[in-house]
Amino acid sequence: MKNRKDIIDLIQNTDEEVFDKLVKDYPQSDKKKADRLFRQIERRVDNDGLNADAAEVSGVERYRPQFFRRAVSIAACAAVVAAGAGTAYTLRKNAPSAEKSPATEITEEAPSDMAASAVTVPETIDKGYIINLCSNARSNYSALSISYTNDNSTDHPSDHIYTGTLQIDNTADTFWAQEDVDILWKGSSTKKYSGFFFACGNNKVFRIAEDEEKYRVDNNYPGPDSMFYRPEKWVSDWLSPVENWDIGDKLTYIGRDCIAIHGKRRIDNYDISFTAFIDTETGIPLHFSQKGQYTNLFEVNSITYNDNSGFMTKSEFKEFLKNYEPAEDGYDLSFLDESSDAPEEISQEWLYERCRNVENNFTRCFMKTDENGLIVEKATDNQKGVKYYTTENSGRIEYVFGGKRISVFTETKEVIENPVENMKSIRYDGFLDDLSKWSVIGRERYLGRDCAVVRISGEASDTQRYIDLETGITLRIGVYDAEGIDYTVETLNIYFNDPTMIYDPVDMIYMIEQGGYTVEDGLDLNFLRGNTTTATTTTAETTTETAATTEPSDEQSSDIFAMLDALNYHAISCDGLPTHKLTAPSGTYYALHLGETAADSYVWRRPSLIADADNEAPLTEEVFSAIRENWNSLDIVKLNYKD
Amino acid sequence: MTDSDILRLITESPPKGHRALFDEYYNYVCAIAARVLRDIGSPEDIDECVIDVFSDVILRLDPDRPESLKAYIGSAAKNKAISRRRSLLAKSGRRLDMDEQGFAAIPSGENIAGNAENKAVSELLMKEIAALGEPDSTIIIQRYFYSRKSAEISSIVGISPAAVRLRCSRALKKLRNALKGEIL
Repeated sequence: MKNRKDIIDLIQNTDEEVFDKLVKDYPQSDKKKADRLFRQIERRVDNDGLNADAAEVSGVERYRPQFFRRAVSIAACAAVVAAGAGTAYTLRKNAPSAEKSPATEITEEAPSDMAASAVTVPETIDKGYIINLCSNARSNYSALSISYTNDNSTDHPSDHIYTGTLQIDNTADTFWAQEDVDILWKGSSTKKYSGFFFACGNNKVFRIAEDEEKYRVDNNYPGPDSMFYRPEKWVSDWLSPVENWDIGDKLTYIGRDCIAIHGKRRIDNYDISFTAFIDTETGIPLHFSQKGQYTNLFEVNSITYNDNSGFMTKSEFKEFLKNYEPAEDGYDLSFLDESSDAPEEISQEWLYERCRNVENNFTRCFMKTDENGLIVEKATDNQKGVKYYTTENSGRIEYVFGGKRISVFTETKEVIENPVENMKSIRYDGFLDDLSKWSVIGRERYLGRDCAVVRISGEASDTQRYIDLETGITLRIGVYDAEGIDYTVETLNIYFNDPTMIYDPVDMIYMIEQGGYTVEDGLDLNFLRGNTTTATTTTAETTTETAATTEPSDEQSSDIFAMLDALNYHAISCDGLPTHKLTAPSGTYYALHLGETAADSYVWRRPSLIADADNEAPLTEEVFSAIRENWNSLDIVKLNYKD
Repeated sequence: MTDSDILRLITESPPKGHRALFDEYYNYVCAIAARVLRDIGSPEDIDECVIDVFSDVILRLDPDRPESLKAYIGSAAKNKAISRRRSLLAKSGRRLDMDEQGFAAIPSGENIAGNAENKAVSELLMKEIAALGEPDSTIIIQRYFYSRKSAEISSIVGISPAAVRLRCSRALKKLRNALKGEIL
């Protein structure tokens, strides 16, 4: 026998007798894994029974999908309808969503077993799981492509039927939509328009009507506020309060495992009932039916996760815009520049320096990784001095703020302090220190990011890393032994400059206080109440795309905090859930339940203004309006119900 | 537990019967799936194949028609694994040739008997693997027979993935030395 390959061949291609002996003598002794697989088998077998039921359900109720467009403005529609000369050919030719992802193709490429995310779906789905899943839906996929139909009958003077495609690239933080709209004027004619929309991060939406030769900023288009791009809106609008909805059956819809929910809510003093089918792996509502005064039917016709090939990039969109004239002068397009200071030839020294300083190369970063099956979330907000690290199902969150670290055990409900040093986070761990052991072997795009591919040699195996050239963050690791890849770490999602993805210190204190946690003797958690806007700042200049993060105006903020403090507080009575939070520079925490109007909006203030009791106050029209009007200048954060 | 015990249990208490069926044949199905898919699929593909096999068997098995469960499950496993292999090959752009068609066939004892020398080497190798002692023998079998990753093996044998890789490499070296001169 000459070499190891002969030995391996013999083990892998034994005769039946030896095969049986090996099975008997060397059983798979990982009982946990066997149990996990068996649970999946049980689920598969159960679902096969349910699928037949689901097919029957969808056969009876011919729902049309809708609810993406929660509040389309008439003005926006009218503006698009007021079209000029046609440029349809050019638009179609350049629109990636229209040309490269026709619905038929998406359907074929969206089998039910397609892994959208690494979320572990529990056997029994409860409301907490659904709220958490939907609140964090955006972190459950890196890219999303949907074709949909939206049959929208509201109190508008017309009915709207929208068909379109929607593409969201979470890694590039871009949103692209193409829509064809039939506007059925009641009892009379039909008008149509087609439009293209592009948005990036918190920047404004650019809209191009198909028959218009100009592009314009459209502040009324709800796309980037849709439930897909900002899923927290869906949760706060429809899943809160939790008493207003119930969990229905499991079913399969367009090849995806879903859970039905049925609920009621009140809009403009009308009772509305709704049914939604929620993708149990991602939290994306694939079907929504609203009945009552305002009807709305939204159906996703096909869906593809995690494939951003063919999506229009920011720089491509910038080129695309050159085909048109701006409707007004002065649009700032600089946020579409994909700037990189990486040299054409990546030298070892340059890359080493970039990686060594990784923590200083971004302002905020949230990343979710699959480390050989273990799902890890880590995030750093340099502006606030926050770091956290948690693994799925570990029941443990490591959290750093203001130079102190706490470990929060969500199952045993304990909080202890630990040394800041050695906490896992987005950091450099010395993998490039020995320059003789590695080399740059290529340059490739990974998750839409420009990466250097590095090969590092080791004693028993080699390691290959994809390193983001802009920040020095490793996005993928493969460990290779003689037989091929053996271990992988893959980034599923990465976000820069999205503060809503990162736990605030007030999130932590709220969770700990509301959750009845036992805090280690001598550990004072008041450090979490520190002034988040003046916390440790270690950010260096970054080349990362910077979303428009508007700092609150001190004057406006203090006015609103004063208005909030002057409300008529009384002992807590409302059993609804807060939808948003707002923190004053003093550390005072306001949990807000923001409904459609002031009449169904509340605030809970911490510390309480009432002795020995939690307090709440209904929002007045004045305060409600002030919050809405100054929304962009306030640091209002949607609550995620992480725990 | 015998096949008839499992079939009876499936009739009397399906959940218990299905678990018994799974416990009895899990290793067998894993080994078949690994054998067919190891060079083209990931460990996740192998797991998925195992799930497919048992789901299918549970849904289709008629407990009133006793037969050799091993043959039935073995056949289902081979078919599912080949089907998944075809799909993976198609995705990778590789063609399914004649060799691929017969890929899943486990050489029968009858065929092997025709090659006594080969069989003797095979048996000698198994003996040498056992002689490696634990955890090395388990590492070698889990790695190459079941195609498991070092990280998974590490949780079985209780050492780090890096140590698993190192021990695996050294164990192969030992086997090569022990079998030097043997002809395949």
